[in-house]
Formats: sequence, structure tokens, C-alpha cells
Amino acid sequence: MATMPDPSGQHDAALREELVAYLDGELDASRSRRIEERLADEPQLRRLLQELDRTWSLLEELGAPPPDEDFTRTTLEMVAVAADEDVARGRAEAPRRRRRRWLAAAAALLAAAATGFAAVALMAPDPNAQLRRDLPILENLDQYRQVDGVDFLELVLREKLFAEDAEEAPPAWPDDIDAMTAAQKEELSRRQREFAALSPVRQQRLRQLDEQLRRDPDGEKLREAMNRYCQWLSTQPAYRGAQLLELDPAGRIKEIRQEPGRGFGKRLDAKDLEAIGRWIDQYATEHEARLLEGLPKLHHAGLAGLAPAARHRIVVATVCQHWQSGSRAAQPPISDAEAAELRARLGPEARARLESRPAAEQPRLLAGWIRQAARQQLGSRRGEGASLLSGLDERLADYFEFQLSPEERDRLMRLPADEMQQRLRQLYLTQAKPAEPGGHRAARGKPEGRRKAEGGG
Amino acid sequence: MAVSESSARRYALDPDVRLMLQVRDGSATAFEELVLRYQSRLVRVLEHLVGGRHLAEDLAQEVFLRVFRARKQYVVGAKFATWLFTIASHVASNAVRDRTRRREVALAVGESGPVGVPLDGLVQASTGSMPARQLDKAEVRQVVRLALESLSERQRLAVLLNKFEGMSYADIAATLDLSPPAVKSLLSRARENLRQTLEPYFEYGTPPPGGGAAQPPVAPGHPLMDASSKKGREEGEHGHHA
Repeated sequence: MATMPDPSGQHDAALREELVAYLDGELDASRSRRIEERLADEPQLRRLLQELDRTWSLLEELGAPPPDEDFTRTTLEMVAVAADEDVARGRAEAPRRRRRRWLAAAAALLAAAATGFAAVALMAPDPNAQLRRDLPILENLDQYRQVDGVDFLELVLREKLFAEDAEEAPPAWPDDIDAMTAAQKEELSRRQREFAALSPVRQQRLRQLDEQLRRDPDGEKLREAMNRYCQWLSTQPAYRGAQLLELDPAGRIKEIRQEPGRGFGKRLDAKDLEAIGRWIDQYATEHEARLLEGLPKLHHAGLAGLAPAARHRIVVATVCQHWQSGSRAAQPPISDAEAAELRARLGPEARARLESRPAAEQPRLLAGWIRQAARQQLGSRRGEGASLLSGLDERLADYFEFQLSPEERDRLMRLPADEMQQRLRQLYLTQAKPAEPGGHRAARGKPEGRRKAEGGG
Repeated sequence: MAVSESSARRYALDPDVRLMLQVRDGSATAFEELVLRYQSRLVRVLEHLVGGRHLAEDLAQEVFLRVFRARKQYVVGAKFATWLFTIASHVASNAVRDRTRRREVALAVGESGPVGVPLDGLVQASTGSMPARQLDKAEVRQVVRLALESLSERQRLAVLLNKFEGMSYADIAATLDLSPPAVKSLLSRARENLRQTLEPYFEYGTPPPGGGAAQPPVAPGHPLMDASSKKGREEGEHGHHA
């Protein structure tokens, strides 16, 4: 055991305090110097210093794993409940205060009855009223979900990202639900379900974003920034949005700045997209055998039973899928002749745009356009039930967001982008039941089966 | 809302203060961000303060709830972390007090738990069942944990804030409602206690994660073996000058 000044003595206690403060960097220069002079002369004091220091460093052994996502979620939900209670209390207290102040005992009874009526009206709202309130959010749901907060949009605007002119935003929905077309109503109901599936906190955040955009004097500019960002995102691999959302607004901006293709956000016009679509079709025909071979073995039996036309649609969807999901390793290669063919099909304006870029950037821009066209192809086939794999990307996103456990999501997010996409597809596909001959959609695995499937790989 | 010049400076310096002001003005996003930024730190400090993961998480949620409930009254007065850990300190104190009250009964029937685990029990386990080998990592953690738990609650909190939160004496003073000299003395006593408890692992065994000497980890006559020395740990605890 060390022999050193008795630290319980008054004098030594003061010295020890100085020594500890010295270790903690809390002494000014002159007092530090004094301690250092004593340390130089007194081996016992040096030893005490060492012991204090090394026993202190043992505290680093005390690990504490960070709380999991469940902790965050329940904390936020708990607080959301508290917020609701506050609102309810506020609502209940306001009439009571008025009652106390203004009404005599007899009149109070009447007021209480009236308050009761109002409360019932508030607590049992007309479901359509809620829908009407949420309409602006539902109309912009996809965009709001990608953006997630007004802070980010302000940064996009300030940093002049995506400053190129964007295509026009899609036409707004009618304000009156009854005036909507059947397709719009169907889409509305899909989005309503999607919105309802979000956590209360996330819902609240999107409501807040909508509110802020409406109130902000720069609301229109912020919306334009949002459109441009989302258009750019549509030229990106599908997981990119989720990946960016994991970052705080400043981190997202930093990440986006590193994308050399950032200025490519402007979409092609419909004619060019159709032309690329036809080129994709031709490409799919030429490479059909190889593309079919590349599909998961799981689907081979189902594919063999299909008519040639249906099989071709699947191949087109597959190639779109590959291009659109963005894993470079998985992207079907394009020969020089095929690239030249693609350029030839573009309209003069698009070709000029392409050629205005440095040669090194051109393939990247073309790839972005192929992705846009592929996305459009997949989109136009949605609901048609035409393809085994059409809309897979969307289902992947859905699967990623709603069915994976937080741990699995974290694990995936830590992988490099290409690997992540591949692993996600693998996870999804290992749960899919084999397609029935002539059937179109691979059934999604149940969450409870997921862990077992995962355990193997 | 108007803030004084010095408050405005703090506001500019501490991004969490800015977030908290957004929370005050009703931003759920800002609150979520604060939770994400502080949850790990808060749970870690609470876990070592009250000894128990589940309790620590419950208390951390309670702290966040209190932060939320106090949002309307929030004024820019100090660093956000100082304010948060002040709340955490009160919440933990109450929990420990409640539990101590319950434990006065429970201990009589032999319950043992993380807070107040008798160090002598650990020593017997170490010296009795594994006299001649070096401690493995888990054992080192256990020893360190118990050494920490042998400190008074105030010493422990000061140690945790200093070690894990990197707080200065001034910030710890603000959190614990003490003067900086009182914090200096508190931390000095705490570190001396830790030194007395842990140094024998260096003296008589090898440093825990290192080489392979064959000495008992706790020396005979060491304070850990001597129940009376534990009283000395609280030495001077009541003399804070606030």
C-alpha cells in the first residue's frame, strides 16, 4: 500500500483538493505552477497524483448501453399524452373560471349543461371533419415525409440548393372531398391509412410542418424548395430519402452538397420520359433471358407458368426496379451502342441539356433520367397487377419503415448504401411466399416470421 | 420574447437552449431532438446514480416529462444541461429516498439491490472464491460500480457529472446548488474515497485489464475489509457551503 500524507489531515486535505483540481484542469496558471513545483520535489505527492488519476480512469469501465428506440418512442408518447392532458385541462378550466367569475349558482347549472354539450361535440368529432382538416397534409404526405421539418427547408432555401427551375408541381386536389375523382379518393384513402400508421409524434410533426408552411411569410418559397428537393430525390435511389432523414437538417444539407448530380433535379418532359420508357422496353427484350435468370429462384416456378407477354412485363419491371433502386453493382450494364441509342431517342432540348454537361457527368445524368423513367414505368403499372415485382421498391420502403424492428433498421442503416439495399431486398424476399402461377404479388411475410428468417442469414 | 443580453449570448452559445426555447413555443420536433441528444447521457448518469437500468430509464422519462411540463416557465438562465441534470438530481433523490424507506423493511428480510450493496459482500466473493487470479472485465466493472455506490449520493453525482458529462466545477455547482469551492472539496473527497477503494487492485493484483499477477485483489486491512472505514467516506459531507 502506498505511504503518503494522511489525506484526512486538514493540511493534506487542502493539498489534495488542489491536486484534484489540478487534475481536473480547474487551477489557474500560477496555482498549477505551484503544484507542479511541489510534484517535482515530492515523490510521495507524485505517487498520490498517479493513484488519483489511475483510479479515476477506472471509472471508464462503467459502461451503459444507450437506450433503445423503444425508450425514445415511449418517452415521446408519454409526453404527447401529457400534452393532450394539458390541452384538455385548459379546455375544462376555461369555462370553470368564467363560471366562477360571472355566474350565480343557478345560472352555473345551465352553463355546465352547455359546457357538457360542447365537450361532447368536441370529443366525438365527425370523421370527415378530421379528414378535411388533414387534407392539406395528406395531399402533400409524401413530400412532407421526405422533408420532415421546416428547418431543413429553410436551409435548402438559404443554401440555394436545387436552385434550377423545377417542373410544375402536380395540380392541387379539390378542396371539397366530394368533388374528387374516384382515383383521387382512392389515393386519399391510401394516404389516410398511411398517415394513421405513423407514430403520434410523427403525425404531430407533419401537422406542425403544414401549419408552419401555411403561416410562414416565405411559405410559398419553402414549398417550392420542398418540390425541388423531392424532385431531386425522385432521381435518387429509393433508400436515399430514408438515409437522409436519419440525419439532422444540417447533416442532410452537408450530405446533399457532396452529391455531384445535385443540379440534375429537373425532370425530363413527358415525351422524353416516354422515349426512355420505350428504350427500356427494348433493352428488356434484348436481355430477357439474363434478367429472368437473375430473379430470385423463389419466383422461377411462377414465372415459367406465365404467358410471354406477362413475363415480358415482369422483365421490364425488373430492369426498372434494378435501375431505380440504385445499387450500382446490381444495375444492368448499358453498352456504348445502347447508350448511343438512348441519346438518339431524346428530344433536342434534353440532348442539349445532356451535352452541356462535362463528358464525365453525362452518364450520371443519363442514369438519373433512366431512374425517372423507370419510376414512372413502375408507377404506371401500379394497381394494374401486371407484374410480380412492380412496386417492389415501394413495398420495400414500406417494409423498411413499418415492419422491420428498430434494431434491424439500425443495422441496415449502418451498411454502405449498396449493401443496405441488397440486404433489405434479401430480407424482404426471403419472407415472400412463392408466387402462385399467374398470381401477381408476392405475399409479404408476417413480422413474427421475420426473426426466424433473419436468424439464418 | 425578449431576452437579456447575457441570456442572448448563452442562447447563441448553447444550441440546446435554442431547442428548449422552441419546445417552450410548442415545437414537438425540438423536444424530440432534445430527447435524442440527451437520453443516453441522462440514462447513463441515472443508472450509476441510482444503480439499476430499469429504474434509471423510468427516472429519465420522468425527467423528460418534467422538462416538458416546465417548458412554459423555461427562461434562459443557465446551460440547458445544467438545468436538465438539476431536475435529474431531484428526481433521483426522491426515488432513492422512497426506495430507502421501503428498503428499511425489505433489508431486514435479506433483500439486496444495487444501491447500498455492502462492499464487504463483494470482497468476500472476490477473496473467497477467486483468490489468486486477475479480475476479468466484468469483475472490474462490478468492483468499480460498487466503489462508486459506496460514495454518498452527492459525491456520486458530482463524480458522474465531472467524469461523464465533463462538467466544470462551476457547472456542477449550479447543478447541485453548491458553491464552486464546495464542489472542489466534494470531488476531492470522492476521488480520495475511490482511490482508497480501488488502488489495492493496482497494488495487490495487476491492473485489472492487464498482466497476470497472483495476488488477492483486495489486501487485508484495506478499507474495503474494514466496515468502520466506510463511515469515513461521508466525512465532511454536511459541511457544504451553498
